[in-house]
Amino acid sequence: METVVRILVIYLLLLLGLRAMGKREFGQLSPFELVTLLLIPELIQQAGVREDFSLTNAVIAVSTLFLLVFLTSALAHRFSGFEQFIAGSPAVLAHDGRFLADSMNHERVSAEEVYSELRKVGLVELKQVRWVLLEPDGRIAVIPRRRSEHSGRAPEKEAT
Amino acid sequence: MQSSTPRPPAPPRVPRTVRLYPHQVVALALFGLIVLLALLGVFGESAAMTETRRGALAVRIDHPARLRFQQYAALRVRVGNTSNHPLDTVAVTFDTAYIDRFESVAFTPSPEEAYVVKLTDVPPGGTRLVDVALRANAYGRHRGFVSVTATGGDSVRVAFQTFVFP
Repeated sequence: METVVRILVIYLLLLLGLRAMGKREFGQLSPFELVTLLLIPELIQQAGVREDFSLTNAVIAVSTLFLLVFLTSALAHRFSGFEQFIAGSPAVLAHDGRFLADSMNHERVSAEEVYSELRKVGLVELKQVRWVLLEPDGRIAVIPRRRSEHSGRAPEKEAT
Repeated sequence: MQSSTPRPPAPPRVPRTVRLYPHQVVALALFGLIVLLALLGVFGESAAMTETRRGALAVRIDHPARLRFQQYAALRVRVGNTSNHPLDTVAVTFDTAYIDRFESVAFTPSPEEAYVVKLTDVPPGGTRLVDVALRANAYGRHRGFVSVTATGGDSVRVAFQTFVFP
């Protein structure tokens, strides 16, 4: 019984911790962040199984983990509110050629990072962009304006 | 984020239900059963007690009933003298086959020969203890016994078993 409870506590802790870290951390880890995340299994391994290295304990721990993962996934699929709580929703970083500074600061994404993502899809200026979204998986999606949209208008002034 | 923040178009609504493939149902039922049994304590450690009286001897054995591989357990033999005269020597003999299924075996008091502990001068109404610390070294069902023999000829043999999860 203790193993089930321990795995449940660790699972909830990881769920909340990773959720609190923010979307950007999943998409782009700095070497320091990567090393920090790699420390987590080392730290929780002892807490999860204590000194009990029996096959029985491993089967119980893995079964508990699989069950929790499935329940989380099923609840997230069934209830959109729970899905939003678990995974979050896309954050709009820029729209119609303007940065949304408040959103960028919440998500800790810099203008340089957004421009880097623009260049990856062949764009060089923010005015060429209709949407820049930080997806829940941490990746940045860039939706360009249609050619007619940005060639016909005067360039918009960018926020920072 | 403020409510005035522009949002990209939302996807059309699709009714959300959870559907499972047959193999997923089987796997989830298995995982659920394992977790349920674990919560009920089926895979946990447990101890049992067996008590027997014969002649001047009252023997009680507290032994591990279930434990997991490589876990420590304790086996305790309590020998009581129910007669009106002291018992000079009481020999407590442990089943060799049973003890050999464990490692890090430590007897208190120490045995004089292989798995035979001799208790001396057990007064009338008195009890003596023999403690054995064990670490499970082989999984499966281990049957064993403890034989207690007093100088007067009374003898008690108590059988028990321990199941070690892999």
